[in-house]
Amino acid sequence: MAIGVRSFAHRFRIINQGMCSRLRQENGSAVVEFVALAIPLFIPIFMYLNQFASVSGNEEIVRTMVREGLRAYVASDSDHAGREVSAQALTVIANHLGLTPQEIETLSARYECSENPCFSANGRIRLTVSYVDAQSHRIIEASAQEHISPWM
Amino acid sequence: MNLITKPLKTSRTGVGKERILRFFKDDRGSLSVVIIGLFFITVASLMVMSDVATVLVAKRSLAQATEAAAQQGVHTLDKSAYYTGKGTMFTLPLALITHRDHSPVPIDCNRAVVDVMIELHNWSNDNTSMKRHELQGIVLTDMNCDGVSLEISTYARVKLPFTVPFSNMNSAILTATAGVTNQVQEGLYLFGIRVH
Repeated sequence: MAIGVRSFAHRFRIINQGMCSRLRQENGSAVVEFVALAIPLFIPIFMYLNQFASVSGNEEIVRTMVREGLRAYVASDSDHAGREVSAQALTVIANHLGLTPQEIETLSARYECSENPCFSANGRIRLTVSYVDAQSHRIIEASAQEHISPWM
Repeated sequence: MNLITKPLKTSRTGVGKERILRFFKDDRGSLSVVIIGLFFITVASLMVMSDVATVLVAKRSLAQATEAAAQQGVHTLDKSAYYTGKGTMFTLPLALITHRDHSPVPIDCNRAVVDVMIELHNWSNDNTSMKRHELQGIVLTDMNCDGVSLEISTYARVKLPFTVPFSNMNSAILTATAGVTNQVQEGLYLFGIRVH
């Protein structure tokens, strides 16, 4: 029994010495340093980059949509046709610019007109387009304003 | 006294020198310096990238405002120029036979300036999502009107989200130009209703 305990203690000492000498070695210290320093520093940067790229991209998409949607409305013949053409233009552009089907479902267009009916000569129209970004669940919104031709 | 202290001093400096030399020769912690240096370079480039992206989005907003103002300006009809000339019963058949293009709608350039400025003022003072918030007042810099077409140039100062590293630049000037003309929509109209 006493021999068994002694041999166990001896083994433990050997393992302990091995561990200590291994910890004292400088092999692989660069990896530990890199993990300890670089990851906490660079991960927030990558997160910021990802968010910023997403926000900028969405802003570009929604501005393009509102601009083209409003042009489609203003260049049409009537209020009904204008809204139809504008809605179609928005859907086509959203598809082409890579919006997901879920994002297209949340797409909404709001018209604010200076005249009644909306499609009146010299009337001012403001279109606001918004959708919910699938990744960040942020509402992306942009608006544009144009005037209808006085000779419609 | 001096004889005793001098050799002691030299030995201490020798040890200090050795320590300093050993410290500089030691490789431990060298990676930290590289990582921290790289981190600062990355942060600086990130700030520049954010500024560039802001400028690009603001440029689109300015172009949109300039186009809207130009379109508003071109809607001013010069009635005196429009109603000159005489139309006879042969005017329309002759135009149809010869496929003559309809003359462009004349613009009243004096009124166009006012309309353009009002529209730009509207865009400048907008606090909604119509204009980017970084974009400050939009200024009309140039306007060319030849009676049938209109070209306007604008500029605006855009406030950058970060000061450009290693410089004092915290804003940029953007310019935009738009040209517009009126075209008559061809067709046969009876009492204001388009038949064909």
